Amino acid sequence: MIQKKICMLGGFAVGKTSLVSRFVHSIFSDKYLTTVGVKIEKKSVDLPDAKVDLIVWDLYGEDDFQKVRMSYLRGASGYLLVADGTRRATLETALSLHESAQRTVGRVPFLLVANKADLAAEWELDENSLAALGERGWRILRTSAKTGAGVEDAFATLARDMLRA
Amino acid sequence: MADETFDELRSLLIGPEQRELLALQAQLDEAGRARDVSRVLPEAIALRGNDAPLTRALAPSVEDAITASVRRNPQPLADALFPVMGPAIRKAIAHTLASMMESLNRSVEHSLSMRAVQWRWTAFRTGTPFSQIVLLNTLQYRVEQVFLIHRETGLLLQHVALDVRTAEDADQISGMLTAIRDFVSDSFHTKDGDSLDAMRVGDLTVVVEGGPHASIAAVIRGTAPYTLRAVLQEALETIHLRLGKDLDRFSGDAAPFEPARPLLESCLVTQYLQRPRGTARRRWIFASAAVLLVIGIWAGLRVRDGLRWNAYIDRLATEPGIVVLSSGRRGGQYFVTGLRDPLAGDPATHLAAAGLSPGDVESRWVPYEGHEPGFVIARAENLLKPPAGVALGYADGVLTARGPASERWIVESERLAPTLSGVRRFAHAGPAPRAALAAQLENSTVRFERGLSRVTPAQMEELRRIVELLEALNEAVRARGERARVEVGGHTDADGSEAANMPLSEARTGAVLRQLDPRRFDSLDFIPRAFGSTVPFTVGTTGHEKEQNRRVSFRVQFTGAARPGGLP
Repeated sequence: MIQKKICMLGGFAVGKTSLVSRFVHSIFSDKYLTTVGVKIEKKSVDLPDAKVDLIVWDLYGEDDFQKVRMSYLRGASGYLLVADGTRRATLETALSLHESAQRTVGRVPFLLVANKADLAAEWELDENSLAALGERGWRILRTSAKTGAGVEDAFATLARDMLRA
Repeated sequence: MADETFDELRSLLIGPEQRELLALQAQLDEAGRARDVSRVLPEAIALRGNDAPLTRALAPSVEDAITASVRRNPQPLADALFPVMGPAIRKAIAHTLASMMESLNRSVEHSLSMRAVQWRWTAFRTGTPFSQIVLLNTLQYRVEQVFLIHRETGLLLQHVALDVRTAEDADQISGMLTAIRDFVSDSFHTKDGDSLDAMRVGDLTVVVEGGPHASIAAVIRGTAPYTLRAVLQEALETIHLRLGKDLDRFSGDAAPFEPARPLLESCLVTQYLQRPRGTARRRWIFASAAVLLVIGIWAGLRVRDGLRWNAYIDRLATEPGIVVLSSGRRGGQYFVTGLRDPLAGDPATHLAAAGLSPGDVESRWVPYEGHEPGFVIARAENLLKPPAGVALGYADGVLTARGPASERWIVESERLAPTLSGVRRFAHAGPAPRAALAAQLENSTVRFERGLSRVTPAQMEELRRIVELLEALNEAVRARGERARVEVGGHTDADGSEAANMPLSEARTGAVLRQLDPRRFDSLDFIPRAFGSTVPFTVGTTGHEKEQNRRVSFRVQFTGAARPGGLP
């Protein structure tokens, strides 16, 4: 059994918590997010050659009033950058958080998740920007916390990347 | 050209055989490679040591192989595991039994004490199981869980707990503990190396001991001594010493930390409160003495009440006019039932005298008339109203009257007395009044002067007394419904002839009768008699003696039931 610590990073209300709450096991309530700024969850991922328990540190969404505590990133083997597909600004936040994360944990596997894929009509993210990131080697996945589309894939992809690292 | 032709010809002639040869060659090469690999494989694996990728690569195959083996025939694996499983199971059972016995001993020890009563009340009030209350009150501390946490990642390396159910969420708790420690360090900008090393909620404390690569977090219920930290530190140091390399290389696989379990289990300490036995014994003695004292006082009061009760019943038994039919104690209260003469003393006065209060006793008295002489006499006095000078007595059913009483009262009493309870008959002691009257009358005489038959004024006084006697006699005889015959006899002295004396005596009788007026006495029959000098009062011849013989005398004879008529 392999355990890996991963972090969920993203702006305020991008759907980080919704993204994971249906797919992970947690014994803590959401109030930890607004108090301690983090909530620990567990997600088991079955890969073909290993079973990985992801200990997910769901970090409070960064906004004007509260910064993500970067010390929570320490020891993370990877992270998910979550952006809200219907709010362009959240991608900027994700990029900024990525830089901060790299300063803290170095170059570890990560994944950019463009959430709320079910709201296609309100989609704001610039495809060119995403494509440019893809060209820089970023893995980008579209997910929907509402339909569950892409969520399992996101965790599995990150787990696989971390095992290879 | 010739070469091409030759090749084509060769292909046509030996092409199939050549292909077979190539296939055979390939097979030989593969077998050779397998042989080569088989020669170096053990050495290669040994060279890789505790290599995680190799372990991961082998794990699925090994798991599949074991699964397949068990499916085919579980016996070989069971046999192989037997030496391992036996001790492990015995150890687990022994540990569980020991814990259970310890708890049971504690429960039994405390199930009868005063404190247990308080704890049962607390358990009832708070809806908490009694065993838990006992544990909380007898436990000094108990280390319930121990986490071995990777310092950098907050990932759980090992976890041991008294309650295995807590193991499921241990990895998340491990993460959250790390997060909270980071949160505190960040929030209060602590110095490097300083971190939150204790958290307390109610009677629960989380103590964290940090090392270079790992931390130990112990969840403790109760108040742990500071020395417990030394135990945790020692365990952590040993783990760093033995598993330092694994800690350094840790990349998510907790398997290498399995050997740390015994060390962590040794930290699961339970310490009960030590109560000095002497104090407990003294308390027991004190409690026993108190109980005995209470029982003694209670018994003493019961005995005292019993003695008082018996004294009360004895007093009642000797009280005239009271008959106790039943007595005793019923439903925690004394009771007495019986008969009571209204003239008898009040039982309540005896109650007070015996030291009992009326509330202690339930009394039921049925009225009756007692035959004690006092009561009979009292009732008789009330009914008969005896004249002054008459005393009543009672014995064996006979009511006796002593003293002067009129015949009428005696007769009335003879009629009424038997109506009294206990009185069969009435008796007047002494001579009947009529007999006494008769005797007095017979002793009376009216004297006369010589030769005369006239009642002298000097004799009138005597005559009035005689009239009173006759009136009383008449009354007495009439009261009985009887009659009496009164002989009025005239007498002379011996002087003169009998021929002269006889008429004289007759005249004297007549003179007295005239004075008496016999018709006034309706129950007396007067019989006039003349005796001359034949019945002298005295035989002497002196003047005085002769005077005594000149008289009229009386004789009374009771004739029984009255009959109509009187003097002829």
